[in-house]
Amino acid sequence: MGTILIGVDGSSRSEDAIVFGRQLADASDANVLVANAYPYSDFPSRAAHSADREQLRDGALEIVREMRCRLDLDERRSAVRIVADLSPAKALHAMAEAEDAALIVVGSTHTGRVRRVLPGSTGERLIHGSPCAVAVVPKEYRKHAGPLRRVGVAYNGTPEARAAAFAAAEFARALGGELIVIGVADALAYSAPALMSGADAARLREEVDGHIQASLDALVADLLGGVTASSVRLTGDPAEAIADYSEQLDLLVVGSRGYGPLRSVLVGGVSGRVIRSAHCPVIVLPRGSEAALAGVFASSASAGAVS
Amino acid sequence: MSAPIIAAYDPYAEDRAPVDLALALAHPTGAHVIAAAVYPWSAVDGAIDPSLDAAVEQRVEDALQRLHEDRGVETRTVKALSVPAALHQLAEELGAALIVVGSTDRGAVGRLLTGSTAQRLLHGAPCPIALAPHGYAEAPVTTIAVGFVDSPEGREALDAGHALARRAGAKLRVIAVLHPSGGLDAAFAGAAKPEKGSRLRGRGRAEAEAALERAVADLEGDVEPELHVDDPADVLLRVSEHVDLLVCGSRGYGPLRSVLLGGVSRRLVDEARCPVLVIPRGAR
Repeated sequence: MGTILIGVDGSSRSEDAIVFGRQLADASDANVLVANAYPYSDFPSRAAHSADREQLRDGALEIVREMRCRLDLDERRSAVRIVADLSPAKALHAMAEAEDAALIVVGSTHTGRVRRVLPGSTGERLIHGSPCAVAVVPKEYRKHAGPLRRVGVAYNGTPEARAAAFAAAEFARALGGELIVIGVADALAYSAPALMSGADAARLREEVDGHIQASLDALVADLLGGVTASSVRLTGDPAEAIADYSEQLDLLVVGSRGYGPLRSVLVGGVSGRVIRSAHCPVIVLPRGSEAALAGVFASSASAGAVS
Repeated sequence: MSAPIIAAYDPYAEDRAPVDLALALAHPTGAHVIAAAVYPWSAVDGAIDPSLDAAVEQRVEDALQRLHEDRGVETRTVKALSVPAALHQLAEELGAALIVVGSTDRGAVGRLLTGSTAQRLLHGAPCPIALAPHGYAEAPVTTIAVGFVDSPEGREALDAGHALARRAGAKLRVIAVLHPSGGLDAAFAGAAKPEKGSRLRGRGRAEAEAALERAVADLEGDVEPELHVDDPADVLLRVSEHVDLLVCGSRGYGPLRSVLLGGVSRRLVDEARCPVLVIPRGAR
């Protein structure tokens, strides 16, 4: 049984995260922890003003209890956690490790655009180094959330993207939805257009398109049964193309970049830009952990599709 | 031979700032400097005609030849689609002591502004990262400042700054900053806000002073500890106008042996007036 950790701060953006967390909980048998970090440090003041600490602690408890009510999940499957820490990102990171969470869910920042994803300072720090998958939910998702049917996954042929595709297939299966594998043909990335003739550029574009389509087809064939999978080939700048396409998706899964510490979430050039502009909730998977989300969806997947 | 210093060199912009900073840091340590140019190539499993790459390759080679003649450093090319991924891998392969990266040319001269390559290296790099401001020219390192926090990461930064200062014969300013409100601003925003530091300054200050004193007690050479009561990033940014190098640690959570920015270091790498060196967490 897996654990989904939802970081909340009492704002309406936290309600967005709660709504999305509930949807995932409904499609799995995962437990949900509603967590808040209250800004108190035992250093440098030590116990000099314990009254403040009590007050902050009570405020935090009120927030997580209120959010747990909004989650409205079976009481045996949800719990609250509060911790004194000046850095909410650090607190969520430590809590995810201690609770062996499979996923941390946070809302977007208040400065972002409505119905778009944009991590705030806590989300930004989580997508650089979190020990488990991180989901960032669009601003005002609570007002527009629909059933999670169309699950997209960004695929570029790397081992990280392949792992993400298999994890996304588990999602789609558990949600009773379909999987859309997204490839982007970006001919510009492969050479210097200024130095190439028109004919060369056209040939290059054709070769890149063909190659990408072949790798998408191969992946869709590899994904085992039990899930409806199709592929779509976009052209242009990968981050922009995927973010634009996310308007047609209910959930987007991306892998971490292919270098840096293992078993950590670390966004790269494309995933980093996608998670700062997508139209639907985005989940970034940690690098080098094959069964990243098995904890959340494994048992429901083996029991067949649950919606 | 000691571990090399890798300078990230953009063969199109030909910005020499990272190479010059690498040379300035190599001078006291005797490290070998390798200027690495990463440029894209047709990486699609040989599906594309290699002749398309020839013109690009020639241009890169010419740029590196000019750099070699000017600065006498070893040069190296890496063909890869992702510049930060290639630099990361090269640093691991060579067991590099340091990667030096430049600022984007969108920023002001003399001031840092990290580009996309630096941003990604600053999250997860296997070795320290130094950032060269736009327009940096090689100059002797005579004063080094370290942003000190009493944590394992803060002490790693202090050790690294001290080691470098000793070798360079430089003065070391150890800067500890106590936030006036003890970090409680957010909690009281909107409500009755206490006067800045009203209750914290007395006891908090004594403890911060004691921690700073303990940290510098065993350090040799010209070491000057300072305690400021202000916003930590503001203090360090002001200091950056008067020193040749600013050293800071990574944040205190996340994967070990990786560079990871926290709240203060994030501002330093985008606004400092001098080169900044970020030390990875749990450095060996």
